[in-house]
Order: sequence, then structure tokens, then C-alpha cells
Amino acid sequence: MATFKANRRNFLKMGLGGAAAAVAAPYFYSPNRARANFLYGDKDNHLIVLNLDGGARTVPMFNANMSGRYNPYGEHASAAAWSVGGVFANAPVALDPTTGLVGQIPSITDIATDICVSTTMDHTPDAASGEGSHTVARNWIAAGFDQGGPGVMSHVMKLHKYYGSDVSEFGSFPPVVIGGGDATTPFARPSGDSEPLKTTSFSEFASQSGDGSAGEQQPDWARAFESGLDNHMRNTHSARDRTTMSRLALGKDAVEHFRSVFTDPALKVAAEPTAEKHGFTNAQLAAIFGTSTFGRNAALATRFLQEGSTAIVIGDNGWDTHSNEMSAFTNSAQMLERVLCGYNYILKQMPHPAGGTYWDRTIVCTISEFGRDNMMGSGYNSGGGSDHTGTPAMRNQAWFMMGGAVAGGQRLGQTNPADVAVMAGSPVYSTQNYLATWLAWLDIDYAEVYPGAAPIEDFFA
Amino acid sequence: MTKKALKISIATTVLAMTAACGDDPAGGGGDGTDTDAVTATAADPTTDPTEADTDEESTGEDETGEADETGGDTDDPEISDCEQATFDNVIDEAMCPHVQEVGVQPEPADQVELCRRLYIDLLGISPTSVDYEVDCKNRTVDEIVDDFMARPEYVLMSQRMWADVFHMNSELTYYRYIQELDALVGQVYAPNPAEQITLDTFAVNAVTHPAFLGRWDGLDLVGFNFLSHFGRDASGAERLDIFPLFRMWEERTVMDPLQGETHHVVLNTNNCINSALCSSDFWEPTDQVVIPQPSPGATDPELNVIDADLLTPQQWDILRLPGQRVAQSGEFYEAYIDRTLDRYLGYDLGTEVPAARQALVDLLEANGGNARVVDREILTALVYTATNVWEEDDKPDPETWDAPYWHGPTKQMGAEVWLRSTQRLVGQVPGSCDHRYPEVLGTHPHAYPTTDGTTPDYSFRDTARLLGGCPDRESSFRETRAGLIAALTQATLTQDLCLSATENSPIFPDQFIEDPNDEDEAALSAAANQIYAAALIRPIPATAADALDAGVDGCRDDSNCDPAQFAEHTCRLVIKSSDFLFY
Repeated sequence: MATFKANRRNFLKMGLGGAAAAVAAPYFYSPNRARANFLYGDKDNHLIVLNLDGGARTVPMFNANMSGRYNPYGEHASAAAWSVGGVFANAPVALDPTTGLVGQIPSITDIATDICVSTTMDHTPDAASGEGSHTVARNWIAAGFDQGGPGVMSHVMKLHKYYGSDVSEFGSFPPVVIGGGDATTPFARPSGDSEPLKTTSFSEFASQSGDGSAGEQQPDWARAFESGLDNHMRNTHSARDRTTMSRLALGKDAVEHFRSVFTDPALKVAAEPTAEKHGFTNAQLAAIFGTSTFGRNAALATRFLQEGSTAIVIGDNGWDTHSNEMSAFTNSAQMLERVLCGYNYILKQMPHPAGGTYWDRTIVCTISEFGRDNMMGSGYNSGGGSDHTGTPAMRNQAWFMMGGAVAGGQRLGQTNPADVAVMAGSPVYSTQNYLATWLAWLDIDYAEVYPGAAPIEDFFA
Repeated sequence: MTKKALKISIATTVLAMTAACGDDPAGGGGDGTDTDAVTATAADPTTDPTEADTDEESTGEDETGEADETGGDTDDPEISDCEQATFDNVIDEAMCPHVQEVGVQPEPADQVELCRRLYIDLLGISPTSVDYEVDCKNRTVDEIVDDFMARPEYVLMSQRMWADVFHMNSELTYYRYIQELDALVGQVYAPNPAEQITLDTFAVNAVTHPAFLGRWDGLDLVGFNFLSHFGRDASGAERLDIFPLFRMWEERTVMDPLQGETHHVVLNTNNCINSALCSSDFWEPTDQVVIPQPSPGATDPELNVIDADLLTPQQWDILRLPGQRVAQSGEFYEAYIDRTLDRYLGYDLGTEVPAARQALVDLLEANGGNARVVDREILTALVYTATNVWEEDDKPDPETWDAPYWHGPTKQMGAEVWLRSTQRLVGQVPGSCDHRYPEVLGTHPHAYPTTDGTTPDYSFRDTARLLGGCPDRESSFRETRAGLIAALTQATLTQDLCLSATENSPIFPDQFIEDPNDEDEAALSAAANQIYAAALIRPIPATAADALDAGVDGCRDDSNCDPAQFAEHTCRLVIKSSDFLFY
């Protein structure tokens, strides 16, 4: 072993030296009002989160009126106050009448006034530099803390009024996390024995329903036998180990309780195009969302939404574009656009059991670990891509919310076109505020998870 | 402050560990048929560790003045403090103040529990009764560990771990680079000393290995180097500061006769035309990796560009500077120790007890960076060899949970281990996926089973992915699933697995073969125990008798249940039970 020995603390200190010169942006936290003042929460509300895995360049999509260095894709004119990125195709999708669907999927500018964008989302508004580490940034978006901890969807599972420790008393289908990427699975990190349904993609349901090919259900005596063995194992192990074992037991209970969902061919969104549920066939979902992996996963999420799932995260990979960004980013942005416009179309047509439509009761929103920076005047780095080094262009992300309840067409916060720094007097919203908004929307006591944060009421109409 | 007597019995514990190595399962007859075999229970600490007091005035009496339940006091010759005890294992020594000195005495695992743990961790499959008899019975821990660490399966399990770390994927990276880096990992864990390389040598080579350079772009070359070798991501500033040492690496599209279109890693010396562009003062003020521009057209595919395969040893000496700095960093050994502790214990002992991490770092340094020494030390330490049976009250607040190192590790089988183990139990040939290549492009070499001698059979891979195994390392990564989707998958798979069992399958009950129509209580109980023992080496524990009764009585009361159905469903429930999944 050579003599050079930098210990962990020295190493960090050296590494952060370059960041020390950065200047903290002015910011205003969303005020921590009493929870009772948040007027939009309801246990019958739903949340769909589109997680752009890898760190998406959100500025050119949702805060597009920046200089060419920060947005080389231009912008589309719209009636909204936020600036629609030129990277989007901005073309309506005509629906084939043979699918039984009418009209067209609207374009992004058609729905811009249904979308509210905050252009100054920052994990750590009071830090000298933005968080450029994938690992730490993923902790922020999935858990709301730099050190990580339980994923926010596990908090939903644990704290939402429709769920609890007894699966047989669940009032609704569990929360779901769809996606296997490193930035998506942390949303499902367990909270005690609670964790959401976690699946890597729509394709997982093509081959399984819990019954096997013979379709033979487990008889009651076998369930009792198995449950007895599981209980014995739990009772002879530590509280810590028992928690993991309980998750498996809860999973088994949920398989039984929601058997009708898992055995429904409608869950096989690609393999069973004619399967229909709640008024839409899988072929129609494919027409609405497209047949990309993102689109198929959105179709699967719609199925879970129809079963009553309160909150769903859909992860989409491919946003960590350090090189050759132009084609990859354009492709990813236009798939996101298709899913976003698809939700705008379908949610307005889905009656909600509690009255109105799902549009009234659902927020579709986005999140990502960070934005991108280190671009040259061309709009890209030397490899034709972009990086994440902590500058304002990276830290000030543009995240949207869409739904009947949001302040459509509005832009929250304002950044300088020259460097994407926060403009004087503009509010800055923290990621914790954002996650608290999700919980509050679902009528969950967000203060139990984020004691110092408050929902961002500015998003709502 | 309440004073409680310390109950330290290092000597007793060490003796117990040694004795356990030669014991039969749970002190039973060792034939794996004793229904009372599972009798090992954790020592229930009779003092509250949070109230333990190291005050030398401790009298060995509690507040009532009575001697503690172990009957000892600090004057007892059997009781000594950790500083006075001697240890054969550096982790045992480091853990002593956190375990025995706070009144906890972990019980050694019995031979069956230990055999399963070592088999699964080192050989990647759950042992059968035959495996137990051949490989574990009447052998010491040291003998088992040394035997298993000498087998190719141990090397393979280690290579799989690093394949995950390096995100190996031949859809993104040239297959031959991956093959070479995987072989380098194999040398770290090679049983033959003549073939071994040290961790330092490994890092020096790996940090700028073409398999790594071809996998990541731009500043991520720094970020994923940090993740791979330091166990943490680089900050934005670190990425910028160190990137110049990677600036000259690029890729060029080429056609490979076996893989088709792929990417070669090349060195573009034009990127370092100004030496400041390829210099960094992050580690040392003089760090730079500048290669003189070669004569145009001599060896390079284009002007001043050199294919990685054509770099000379002298050029590599310069280019491997980042790897040298990584190997020299104190973080490198610490991160390796943490990764290895997590591999075998399933929790972060290095953070829980930094002294244990440091002891292993010191051991690694003393042995010249020999990774096998660290593995062996962990595998023979009490934190690993103790039983994981540990009865503890329900405590909703994790902050109040007992420390995980007060008992042996409890881990959940990974997807591939579970699938291979269950396939073998039902009489199928255990499948596999090639950890190096989630997908085979073209006809490049691979280790998948084949359908026609060359075409990979992905059926095992695709099934394992449903449980978080055989990841593609692009959109999915290895995970151990325990929730709803795991239950759903196992429910689906176990039916087909158990239906495929035949009379020749290890899990098929002898009792059923003897009389397939015998539905009396004793016959069903015997069949259930035989199925359970086929999977877990020993019969259903007596303490789980209620579960067995529920199954047997339930079947007898169910007009649709006959012995064949009973056997099939017992097979299903056993291989997805916590008993089998957790080890």
C-alpha cells in the first residue's frame, strides 16, 4: 500500500473546494402554514409521478426561453405563461377511428394551459452549490432527505387512510412504482413493513398472475400452513429481520386480496390488446400513450389507477445524456410529451367513483434528480451532451404539475435566460416542499414525514 | 444511574464457537431427521445493554443486590474484559466491546444453519441433505470456508458482484473488454496464489480499463469510478476536478466478426494537445496523463488517435495514473471492506461499528491487499457464524431495535439462488445467466445454456428478472424483492415448479411414494416433513407444529385434498416460505 492516505473527511473537503466559490441563490421557502389550510387534499385524490431517471434537462422542455447555451432547441409559442420547449414535436396525434376512440391526442401547446410549471425547483435552496451526485440527488427526490430513508411511496402506503397493516382492510389498490432504474426504485424503499407494489415494467405482468399456468389457487389449508411457517420464522427472529419477513407476508396477503386484479387480462397491456376494463381496451391505451416502454408503462399505470391506486411513480430511463444528447434527448422528450398529452386526453374521459372525472382528482407531475449544465455556447458539452456539476442551470429544475386542480398555464419562479440563475425576488421551492405537496394532495399528514416543509399551494388554482 | 453487572464471557464464547464447528445440527443426531433439531436459541441478554456500565466498581449485582442471572461478577475468573481476552479473529476483537461487554453472548449457529449460509453465500445455491452430509457435517467452520473458497463457484459469485458494480453490459460495451475485466476480477479471488492479484493492482487496472471507459461518458467516468471504488458518487466539483485525467478517452465504431457493430475505446491525443487540459491537482499538484502524439498513420486509426489495444506498456503506465491514485486513497480499502461486509452480513457493519471496518482495513494492509483474507476473516467471525435466531419483543421504533451484530446475519436469497435451488429440488437442471452479458449480441462467446449449441437460452434469465435477478444493468439493477410483486412472482412460479416434480425429484416425499392414497394424519405429517427436510435439510421445527397441524388437518377436512395435492401444495408453500427464503 502506498503512503498517500486521504481520509474520508479530507477527501470530501478537497473535492468540494471547487464548489466553495459558488454563491447561494436568494430563495423563499414556501411558508409552513398549518396543514388544515391546505384546501386541496382528499383521500380520493390520485397522484401520477413521471420520474425522469438519470437527471433530465428540464429547462429546454419547460423553461425554454433561456439562451441557446441552455436551450439549443428553441421554443413553441403557446397561451401559457411558462415557455414550451421546441424539443417537443408539438403535433396532435390523430386517433384511428377503428380503435373506437374519437378525436385526437392534443399537442403540448394545446394543453399548456392545463399545466403549471415551477422553474425554480431546487433540492437544497440554501446550499452554496447544487447537488450533482446521482446518489444524493436520488435520495432527495425519492425520500426527501439527502441521506435517503424510506421512499415517499412507502410513506403513502403507510400513512394513507386507505391503507394500513391489514391488507384485507385496504380500501384501495396499493401505491405502485413502475421502473427498475436506480433513480426510480428508491421511491419504493420500505418504511418498516410497508412498501408499494414495485414492478420494473409492464412486461412483468405478461407472464404471471399468481396462479401459474395451471391456474390452480392455493387452498385455505395451504395458506394456513404457509402462514404458520412464516409466523414461526418471524417470531424467532429479531425485530429488524421480522420487518423484512413481514413485508413478504404482507405481499402474500395482497396477492390473495387483489387476486382479481392480477388475474385480469387487462393487466397484460401489450399481450392482450382486446382486453378491456373501465371503458378502455389495451389497444386503445396503446393508441393514447404509444407503444414505447414509457407509453406501455403509462398504460399499466392507468390500469392500476382504475383499480383505485392512490399514487403511482413511472420511471423513464435514458435522461443522463453526457454525450450525443441531441437525438437521445429529443426522443425522450417526445415520449414524455406523448405520455403527458395522453393523460390529458384520457383522464378527462374517466369517470371517478367518487364523482366527476379522474382529471378532477389526479395530479400528473414530473421529477428528476437534477437538471444539466457544463454546456458550451453550442448548447452542449464537448461530447455533444451535458453534465451535472452543480451550477444554476443544473440545480434550478423546471417541474410541472397537470390536472383539474392545478393553476394551469402558470409559471412559478423565474430564472435568468443568461445563466438560469434565480431572478431577484423570485421564489425558490425545495424538493421537500414538492414531496409534501404530494402527500397533502392525498390527504396525508405530511408533517409526520417532513416536519419543516409545507405544500406548494401556488401550484393550485 | 442503575448499575448492572457486566457479563463478559469471551473465553466461553470462543470455546462455544470452536465446539460448534464439529457439532451435529443443533446438537441433534446429525442425521437431519430430528424434529427437535431446531433448538438453538439466542442468549437472551439478561441486562439491558443501554444500561450497561463499564464502571470498574460494578459488583455483578443488580439493584436488589442479587447476582445477575449468569451468576457472574467481575471477579469471576471466567469473566474478563475485552482488553484481557485474546482473539483469533480481528472482527471478534473489534466487536467485543459492542457485544460481549454489553452483556450479549451470541450463540454459534448450528451446523445446518451455518451450512446453508455458507453454501448460499459462497456457492450460490441452497444445499440439499446430500450436500450437507458431504460438505458440512462434522467439519469445522474453517474447513468449510477453506473448501468453499477454493471452488470456482466462489470466484463466480465474486465476479457477479463486481459485474453489478461495473454495470457490465455488452449491448453498450465491447464484449471482449468485459471478458477481460471479468477475468481480472477472477484473479482477485483466485484460489491459486500464483494467479492472484492484489486489490491495489486490480484498482490500478480497472479504473482505466476499456470495459469501464467504454461504459461511461464524460464526467460520469469520474462519478462511476467513485461509486465503484469508493462506494459513493463524486460531487460535481470532484467530477470537474478529476475529469481531465480521463479527457483523452473516446470511442470509435468498428465491426467485430463476433459481435457485429461495436465500439472500440481509443485514446485521442489531440485532446491533450495542451497538457493543462489533461492535468488535475485533485490528488497531487503534478498529476497529468499526457501521451506524446504518435507519428501520423503509424499505429493509429486516425490522426493522433490510438486504439486501446495498441497502447504500449509504457503508455499504459502513464494512463493508469487515476487508478494508482484510487488505490492509494484511504477510501478505497474502506469501501471494499464495507461492500464485503454487506455482501456477507446484509447490513452496514462498517458504519455501525467503525472499529470493525478499521480492523479489516488494517488486516488488508498487512496482507498486501489480499481480498481473500478479508473474506475469510468475515466468514469465520462470530458476527457471521452466530445463529440468526433471536427472539426480541415487537418494537415499532427502529431506533430501539437490538443491534444486528448481537446475532448472526439474516439475509434473503437472491433471485438466481432461489430459482436455481428450487429447480434442483424439483428435479430440473438449475439454469443460469451469464453475469457478464445480460444480452448476447451477435455470436460472441457466452456462458448461457444454449438451444442449438450457440444460441443463448434466456428462459432462466427472464424468469430470474421477475424477482430482481439477472439484471440488464441499464434499465434494471439487481435487487432482492420482498413485497407484493415478489409474492406474486413466487406464487406463479412455484406452481409450475412443483407440478414438474417427479418421483425422482429430491423434493418428492418418500411417504407418498410408499402409499399415494394414504391420507391419515401420520402419513401427511411424514410427507410434509420430508418435503420440508428436502429443502431445509431438517424437518419442520417442533416450535412450528401448529403450522403443520393446520396444514394436515385442513387437508383432511378438505374433500378436494388428496395426498398428491397435499404434496404439491406443500412443495409450493415450503419453497416460498420464509423458512426457505431467509437464511
